[in-house]
Amino acid sequence: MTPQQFAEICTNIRTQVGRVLLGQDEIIDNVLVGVLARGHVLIEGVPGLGKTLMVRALARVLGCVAKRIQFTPDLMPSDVTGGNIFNQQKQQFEFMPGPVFTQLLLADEINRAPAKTQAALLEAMADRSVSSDGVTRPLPQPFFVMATQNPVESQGTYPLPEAQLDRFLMKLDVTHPTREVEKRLLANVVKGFDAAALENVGLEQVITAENLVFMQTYLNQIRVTDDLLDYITDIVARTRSHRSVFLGASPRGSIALLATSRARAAMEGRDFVIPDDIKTLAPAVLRHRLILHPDAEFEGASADDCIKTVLNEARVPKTAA
Amino acid sequence: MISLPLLVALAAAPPALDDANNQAREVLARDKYGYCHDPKYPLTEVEAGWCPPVGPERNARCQTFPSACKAPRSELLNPGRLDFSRGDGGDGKTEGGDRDPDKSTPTGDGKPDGGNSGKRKVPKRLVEPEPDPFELPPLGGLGYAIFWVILGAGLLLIIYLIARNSTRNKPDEAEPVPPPQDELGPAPARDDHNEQLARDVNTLLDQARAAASAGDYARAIHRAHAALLHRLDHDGLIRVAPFRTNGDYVRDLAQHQVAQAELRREVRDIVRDVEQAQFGTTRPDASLYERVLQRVVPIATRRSAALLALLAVNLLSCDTRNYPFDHSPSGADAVIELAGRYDITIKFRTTALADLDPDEDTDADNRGRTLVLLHDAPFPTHEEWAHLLEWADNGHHLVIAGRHPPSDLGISHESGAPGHDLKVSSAFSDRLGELDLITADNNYLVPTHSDGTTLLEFAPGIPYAIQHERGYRGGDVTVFADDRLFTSGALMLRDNPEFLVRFLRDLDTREVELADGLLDLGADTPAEAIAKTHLTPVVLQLLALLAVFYFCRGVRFGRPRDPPTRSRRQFAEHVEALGHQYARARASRHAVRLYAVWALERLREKTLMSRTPGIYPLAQAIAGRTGDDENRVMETLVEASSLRDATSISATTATADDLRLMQDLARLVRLVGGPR
Repeated sequence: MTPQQFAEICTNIRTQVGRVLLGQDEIIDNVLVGVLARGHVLIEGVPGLGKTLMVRALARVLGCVAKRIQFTPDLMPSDVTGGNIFNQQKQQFEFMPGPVFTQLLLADEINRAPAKTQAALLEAMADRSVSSDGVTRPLPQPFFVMATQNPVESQGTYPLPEAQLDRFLMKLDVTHPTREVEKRLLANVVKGFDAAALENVGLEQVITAENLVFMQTYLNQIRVTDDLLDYITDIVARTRSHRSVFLGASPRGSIALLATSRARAAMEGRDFVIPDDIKTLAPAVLRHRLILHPDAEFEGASADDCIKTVLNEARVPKTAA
Repeated sequence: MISLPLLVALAAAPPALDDANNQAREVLARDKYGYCHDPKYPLTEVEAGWCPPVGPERNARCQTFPSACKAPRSELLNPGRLDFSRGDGGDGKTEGGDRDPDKSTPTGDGKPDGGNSGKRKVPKRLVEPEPDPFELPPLGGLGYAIFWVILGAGLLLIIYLIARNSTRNKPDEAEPVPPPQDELGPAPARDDHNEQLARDVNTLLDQARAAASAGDYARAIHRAHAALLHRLDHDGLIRVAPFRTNGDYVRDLAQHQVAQAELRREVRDIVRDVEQAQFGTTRPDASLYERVLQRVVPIATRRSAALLALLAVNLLSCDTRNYPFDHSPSGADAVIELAGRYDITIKFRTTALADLDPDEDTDADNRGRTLVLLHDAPFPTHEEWAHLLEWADNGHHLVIAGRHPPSDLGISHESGAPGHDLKVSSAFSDRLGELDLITADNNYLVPTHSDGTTLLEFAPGIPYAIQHERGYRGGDVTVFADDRLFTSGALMLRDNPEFLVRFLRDLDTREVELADGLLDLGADTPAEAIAKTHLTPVVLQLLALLAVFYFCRGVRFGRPRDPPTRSRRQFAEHVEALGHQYARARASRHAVRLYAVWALERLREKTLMSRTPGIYPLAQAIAGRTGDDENRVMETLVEASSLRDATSISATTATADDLRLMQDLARLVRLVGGPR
């Protein structure tokens, strides 16, 4: 596979998903980066912005199986991972796989489930396997989780601990579409678009799940120069020394920034990473890995502000300035 | 042998007097006299007075003037040529030297002109005296009082600030210390590409070529890339900074309305090649360098060419024609140039008429000087008129062209002469010749009790110019009905140029001075210049402001200072802010009570007296451990205990006792081992 072929496939994927998810090109790009980089994505946004639709469309275009879990306070870990059930006919316990045994999983409103259930999912995300009664069962390949949380309804929720947030490759913020995009969306509905019946839209499957796994492994061939490793290190180190940051990004953040940069480079048809890949993806990769000082939060600072400051201080390799 | 000096002398000799009209044509043929070359020359209304005499036909000396007559008029104010309808002169029966506009118009000898004042129009210069910059507007009694109070308070404040800051001797603020690099971790490795680059595009391109010549293509591509970016930066399309990536620059171009899509595409392609060499697997070589350079250079030069073209368009779109007043038909530049061809030196007088020495003698050849008072010259005062006439009596020549002469000359002005044609009177025809003149206006003179001789006349009995001989030393005063014949516009027509030359030559003067509206407007000192522009209060205020700023800041101007580094707020600052909140809520007693409860608990913990009730054992334990006086410790604990057990606390402001109690408790807590 050449870089151009890789980019062409990605363009087709974006085009197909973009047919049903209007005005969210950046989110689609970042989600695709997350899929290719073998990571998981946390999306924060109010309901009704098309998150489920995106997962379903993505699954159809990528040729993967998709499932959805609506997280609720009474959701048990076994409801996610599955568990052993006694088969009366066979007079033995049999493992009944939970919805986590899928290729694309939408974990809707993950912060509404108790910590134990969240931990079960996050463990599966990290290990890409489920252990039950001493038996470890691998999850299908590829395995991608897109979790969502609602930023406005915080009552009765269980906020994800920072240690578990760190397991997400990226955190994306979804905002409301513009007026023009919303009007186009309505026009599509007038023409008969039904989000529940994607098969009527005529989405084309661009690749298979096997192709996707191959593309994920292809990213290892993307070249990263020593300058760029310095650049990543510099950015992450500066998050730790930022005056408003209590706890900066971990080395896992550095690795995530490297992996996503490689994915973006490949999506752009390059076999090498450039500084712009790193700088563009740094906010999405790092924003959920920073813990701010309380006084900084009182003063209205946000993680994105800190990252922006850091990016404006870190010198780009081989700059012409 | 003698032919060469003779030829030189002939060549240097002035042209013949009867050739003056041709000389005037040559003078007006010069480009600077735009009204003779630009059909759209914007004439003023006064200058358009020459249009009827010139007529619609093409003029031999000033070809485009008839076309200029049809062009739109200038929006500028009329430059001040004589027009009796514009308020300078009136009928000229009376004119005087009193500049007080409130008084009735004086006559030449200083007496009111009685019934004639109604017809006379006072010069604007006399009507509008120069405002006093320090004069206050009418504010009324209370207004004046408030004004002076505010002014006085402001001055006192300034004096106080200056005195306070002078005595304070405040040292300069310490320069903020940059955070140690250790906090930021190791600096990223910097190769030779990250050195400080030049910002000049041509320098960068030269460096690129030099590096390519040396075989360092990586460096050459880097410099060419930098040249491209700095060109776009200079053009305001992008902003180059060390933390910005090529993607940022391309996005800048996408957001910029001026940048064309083609330019964006070209820059994106170049950047892609550069990044391929810098971060990709492609090794920089000559072909890649050439490919980059070939696309960078046209953009750099094209941007420059585009800017130059834009500048040129701007320049062309503006009306760059500039016609100074001196080169206009109302000016005297052509007259001066024509006279210069006949060795007659004409210059503008810059000093006041009052500076004229009435006792000035003629030169050794008994040649005096000539002063021409043009229409817009300042109106002379009584004393100045007396000086001028006395000066003329001493053998000098005074020409009053358009200004109302003093009454003792017995001449007044009128308008409404029949036609514009002028003749040299018979009294002067043998000296000046039979000349055919024409003027733009139809002003004429009325000799009331004049003993002068008519010089020019519209018709017998309707003089245009009258000459008075003065004294016994050959001086004279010549009064013209206006100053049209002394303007460049007059040279366009008939024998006007020849008359001008013959007239000035006939005066046998060694120098001619023109007095116009700029007379005495210059300043001898900077302070006078400021005063004349009425900027004295503004300058004084600025100086005062600078003084206040200097003394308030206490910092030398122009000193380079880094912006202060923001540091995280200290915990103590939060505590202080909280304390201020308590103080604002008048809850200091409440705060002391809370602190007393906390301190008593800590003291019991540290002295292992938690389970022992009562204060006395606690005081004993503390005194035993710290060596303090037991009674004093007891007093402090009792005070804290009573505050703790109080059922109600009245709101009050902080007292010294509250603070002392907290300090005593804090000291005890510290002595027994600290709060933790």
